[in-house]
This record gives sequence, C-alpha cells and structure tokens, in this order.
Amino acid sequence: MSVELIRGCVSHNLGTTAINNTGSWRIFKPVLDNEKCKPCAVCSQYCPDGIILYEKDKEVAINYYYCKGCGICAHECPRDAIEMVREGI
Amino acid sequence: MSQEFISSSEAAAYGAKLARVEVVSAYPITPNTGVIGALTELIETGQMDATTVNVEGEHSAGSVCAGASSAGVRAFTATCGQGMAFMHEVLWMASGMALPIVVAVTSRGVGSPQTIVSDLSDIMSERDASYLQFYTENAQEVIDTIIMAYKIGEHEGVLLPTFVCLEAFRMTHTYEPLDVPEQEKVDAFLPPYRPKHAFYDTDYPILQGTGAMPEFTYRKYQQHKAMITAKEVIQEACREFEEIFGRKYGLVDAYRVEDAEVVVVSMGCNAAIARGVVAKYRDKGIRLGSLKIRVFRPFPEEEIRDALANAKKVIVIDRFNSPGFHGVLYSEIRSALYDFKPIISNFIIGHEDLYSWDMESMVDKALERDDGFEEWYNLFKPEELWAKASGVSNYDQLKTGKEVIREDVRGITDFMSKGLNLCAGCTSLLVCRKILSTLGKDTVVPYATGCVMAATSSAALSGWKLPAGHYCFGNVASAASGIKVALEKMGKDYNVVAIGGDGGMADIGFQALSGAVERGHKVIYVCYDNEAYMNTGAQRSSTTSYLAKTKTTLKGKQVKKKDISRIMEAHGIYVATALPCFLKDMEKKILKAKEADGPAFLHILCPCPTGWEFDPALGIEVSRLAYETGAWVLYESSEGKRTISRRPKERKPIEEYLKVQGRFSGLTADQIKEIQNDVDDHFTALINDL
Repeated sequence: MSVELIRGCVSHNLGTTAINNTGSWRIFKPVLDNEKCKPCAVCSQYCPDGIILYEKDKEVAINYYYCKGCGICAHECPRDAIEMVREGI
Repeated sequence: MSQEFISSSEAAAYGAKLARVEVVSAYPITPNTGVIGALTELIETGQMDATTVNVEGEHSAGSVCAGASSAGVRAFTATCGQGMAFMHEVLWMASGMALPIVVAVTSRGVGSPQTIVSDLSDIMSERDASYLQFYTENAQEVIDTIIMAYKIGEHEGVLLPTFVCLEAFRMTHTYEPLDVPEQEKVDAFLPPYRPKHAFYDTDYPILQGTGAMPEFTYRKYQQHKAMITAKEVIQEACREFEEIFGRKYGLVDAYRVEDAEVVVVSMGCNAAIARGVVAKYRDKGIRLGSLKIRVFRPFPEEEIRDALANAKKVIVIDRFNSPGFHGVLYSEIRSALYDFKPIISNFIIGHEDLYSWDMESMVDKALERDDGFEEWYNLFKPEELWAKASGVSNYDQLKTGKEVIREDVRGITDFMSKGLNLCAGCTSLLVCRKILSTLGKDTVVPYATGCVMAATSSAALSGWKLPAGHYCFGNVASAASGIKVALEKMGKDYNVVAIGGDGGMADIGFQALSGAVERGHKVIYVCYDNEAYMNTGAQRSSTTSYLAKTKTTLKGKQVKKKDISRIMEAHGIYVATALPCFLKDMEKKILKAKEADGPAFLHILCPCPTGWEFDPALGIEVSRLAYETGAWVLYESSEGKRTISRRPKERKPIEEYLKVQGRFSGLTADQIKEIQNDVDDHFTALINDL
C-alpha cells in the first residue's frame, strides 16, 4: 500500500495523545477515601492532567489509565481524603 | 596521555579546553546541551580557564563568539538544527570578518517539521558560509579535530572559522574510550592566538566590520582563496599532528580503494560502517572500497579523483538532499568525477539509522544494476505512524481526502488532551488547561517551542483539541499577530492566545513579543515561567532566580531575574501575574485579558518539579509559598496603573520557599539574607510604585 502523509506538518487528529497510558509511569497511586471525601473539587481543579472527575453530588473518580501519580491531589485535599499508596512492581 | 570513556559531546568540550579557548557562548538546544554542560562543568570546577556566556538565543551565541574573537581571543560555540539556522546571519558575518572561531555542530534536521533527529540539513544549509567543514566519526576524531581546527583556522593564510560536525545522538550521546592528548603537547602544537588582523587595542586602534560596495566580490574572492590555501594548511596540520600525537588524519579517509571496483562514499560515522562492510565483501572476493569525505569545505577534489580513478561504480550515501535536485554529496562527487564517468548511485538516508546490513543491501543493489540510480533508502512508512494512533485516528478519512469525521468539540470544557508526555506534577500543563478552558472553544493557540510543545505536537499524537499551531522558538508573538490579522480579515472573531515559556517570551522570543505588543494586535500572550530551559534539561534563562542552580549555573545564577512583567507594563497594555495555586484569580485575569482593548500579557509562575527539584506533589504548595513569601507578587496593571490583586497579611521568610527546592540547596545564611533583601525590595517597589 502506498500512502502519503497529508502535506505541511498538519495533524487532523486532535486529542490523540489520549491513547498514551501515562498511568504506567505511576509509582504511588492516589486512593480516595469516600468516607472522608465531601466532594469539593479541589483535587479535580488542581490535577495537572485533568483526569479527576468531579460532578456535583457524585463521588469523585480518578482515571488511573492516565494518572501519573504526582500526588498533588493528595497534598491539596483539605480533608486528607486521598492517600498515596505504593503500587506493586 | 590519559584514557577517558566519554561521549563526543564531552570530547568537544575537552577539545575546546585543550585548545585553551577563552570565551564560550551557547544557547540550549538538543542535542548540543551535552557539549555546553561539559564545558560548564570544566569551567566551574576550575579545570578550564574560560568564561561562558549563556545567551538568550543563537543569534547572540554566535555574536558573543564573533565579538570575543574580534577582540583577540579564542572562542567556541556549539549549535545545531533550528539554532544554527537562527545563527545564519552571524555565521556569514564571522567568516567575512575572518574570525577563526570553531563551531561544534551537533547536526540535526531543520524544520518544519521540528525535530531533534540526526540529519545534515543544518550544516549543509551553511555549505557556502565560507567555513572549513570537518565531518567526524567518533569521539577521538572530535577532540583531535577541534584542536586542529584552531591551528588551521588561525593560520595567516586561512583566517577562517570552522564547523566540526558531530552527528546528533549517534555521536553526541554515544560513549567511547578515547585518548585525551596531553596539555603540554597540545600547547606545543597550538600556540596562543595572537591575531595580527583583527583585535582591539587602544594603542593601535582599528575598525572592524567594514562595509563594501565596489570590493564586495573581491572580499568573497579572498575567502575563496583562503579556502584553497586551507587545503594545504590542513594537510600540513595533519602531518604535524601525526608526528606529535601519532594519529593520522587527512582531507579524505580512503580504505582499500587502490584496486576497488566499487567504492562507497560517505561522511561522518557512516564511514565506520562502510569500512566494516568493505572488509566483509573483500573476504567474499568483491573488490569494494570506502572513501570518507572528512573535509567537505574546502572540497578535496583531487584527492577524491585520485581515490576513485579506478572505480567502475560509486555509491554515494547522503544524509541531506537538495530538494529538486540530488543528494548534496552526490552532486559534488559527480561534479568531481565528470570526465571519469563511473556509474554513480545515490542513496539518501536522511536521519534514518544505518546498519551494516542496510549498507550491504545498498552495495548489492548497486552491484546488480548497470545504471546510476537514486533511492530514498528505507523511507518511513506513513501507515506506521497512524498505526500507532489506531483506534483514535481518522487516518482512513485523511487517506481518501474525504471530510474528516471527528469528535464533536461543542460542549467540551477541557481543550488539552489526556495522556500528555509532560512530567508528573507539571504545573505548566495545569496552567495551559486552565487558560483554554476559560477562553473556550473559539480560540486559536499559537505556541512556542518548549515543554508543552514537545508533548503536544506529534503528527499522530496531538495534544490539543482546538486550533493550535507551533511555529518556531522565537517567533510565537509575531506568528500570533499574523494569525490575528488574517482572522480579522476573514471576519472570524476568535481569541488568539500565544503561549510560550520564559525562553519563548522573555529570551529568544522577547523581540517578537515586544514588537507584536507595540503594534497593538489583540492577542493574549501567556508566559508560563518555569524559570529555566526545562525542555532541554534545565539550563538557566533570563528569568531564572538569583542563586538558583541549573545545568549552566552550577554554583547558582549570579545575576538577578529579569522582571518581564514590569517590562511589559511599560508597553502600556493589560499585564497580570498569576499563580497556579489561585485558579479563580487566574481565571479572572484571563477573562480580563480577553476583554482588554488591545494586547494583554499574563505572566504565570509555574513551579517545575523536575528542574526545581522538589516532590511533584508540591507544585501547588511551592506556588503558594512563592505568594506567601513575596517571591511572587500577584498584581494587574492596565494603562500604567497597577493594582495588587491580593497580598499575604504577613510575609513568611523567603527561606520557606527556598528550602523545599533542590535548586537552592547549599545556600549560606548570607546568601539567604541577600535573597530576602531582594524580595523585600521588589515587593516594596511593586506595592509603592503604583
């Protein structure tokens, strides 16, 4: 098969880094304690990768496929509801 | 003589050290950073008596070297790729002014597409810049050639600058054992630089950089003559070098060509592979030879003709093609051999890695065929790129040219993709995400080279979900103004937000930024300031904090941070500073910037866990400490009126901010006090000077 790349350093495939499993970089995993968590969106708004889902009146969800385990959420959580747990190797 | 196990990057630095270079200037660009890193270490540990000048762009790196050389000292720089292209004007100036500087070229491709791969497009674009050009193949040759380059370039009959090419990654990042020549022997070989033509001395004043109207071509003729003279000078230097150091070099390196019927002609490290293939084919009874073109300018025409006089077939391996014609080396070889008329084939490999089996298949092809042919060898297959992105790609639509079906972007609030290859805890990413979600869908994002660019700009895997474009490092503001003007012409009322780091806005991109802002285009310029060149491994920038350690300031930066926001205030536009810890405040400022009458500039401090050396979990905390200690002041300014957005009731001591960062480790009490005084002064000045 002979195909050509579209000319001019153009990508029409926006948002495709979404296939990168950046979660595989993780050493420490943020684990949410739903007992302690009173959803306030702090973790969600400070997550650099934008992968903590917060919706009003719902439980906070972390997308572990992307979570790099930086720990900002755990550090910023006003209720200490997130614990960084070392993952198995 | 001492044995070392080092890379070609370090070998280049050692070469400059042994040549007793006195002034070094460079700008970070991958993969030359190894050269600069090694030089910084040699200088800061007192092993080398030279001064490094860490500049704000390659144009200046070349200019510092040329300036130093014109004053009468030995100068050295290293560059490649886009940087070498940016240095272009200065390169021609230095050769015209007969300044024998040496430029280590860690050659890489010139974009677009922007790349870091090894390719000769940078150095070949400067083919006619009147530089002696050496193409090396290993670390030993790099160190030896740099020492020889000064000897040859400074010869009174030559007086020309030199490129020493060491190929990106294959050499710059490859470690090899080598003999480091002894300093006394190098001193005997290379006397101190005592220029008679170009220097500054008030007892004997001269003018440099004269213009030319009638004598312009005569000047070029002089350069040409010097090049021709250089051929003999190079051979003489090689003979002398061999006597002292025992290693033999020449204009070309011919291996078993005397009786060869087929000869592979190559440059740089491909020649090493060629020699191995020759040995193998000789065992099979095939009379193969290898010719390495070591010196490309002056072009060793006679030596090539001598070496190839008996060859029936010649295979030329090119790492750069002149679009619309042939491989550059091929053209030169064919021209040198025009009356011999051998069958010449041309393989263009560009950046592709070449292994012995690749070269064997090239030789087999050339042996089979009776005509000269051109082949782009082992060319990349586009399918493979899209295979990588399978599942999310719309490659089929692209292939057939039909309308692209894509994710509906309406209703999306996060316009940065997931899965970006930025470090864990990157606050710059958080800031970019915030800016785009605040501005919304009708936004176009031109962005400068930097971390964010590197993570978002692959053809197969892109990181943006709204119209975005990368141009060059230093031109994001100008490109943004062009985009804005065109959008206005088309009646498209989009936000244009130009994103750049401290390099792209305050250093190499500052001229473009100041110009674009002065012209009044309604663009939002965002400087995500992580206080160093993080993308190339943390080299100091003009916004690096005082006494912060980086790869180019091992003992801490000795000068103060450039206050880019106050400079932008002087342009009379809307300027605001922000911090990742106060996202509401940042949002307010982004919206104000959007509503501003003219241009707006946002300066946002982005703590970098990798470059500042702190726990990635502390990114927000560090920015909060910057606020609480007064290291960063949150304010807005429009039409010359400054308002402080918020201020801590009581400022914490600056030590709180410094102690969590590895880049400030080892500060003495006096130094901390000095920083505290600076912070106090800056804080008071901002608050009082309204």
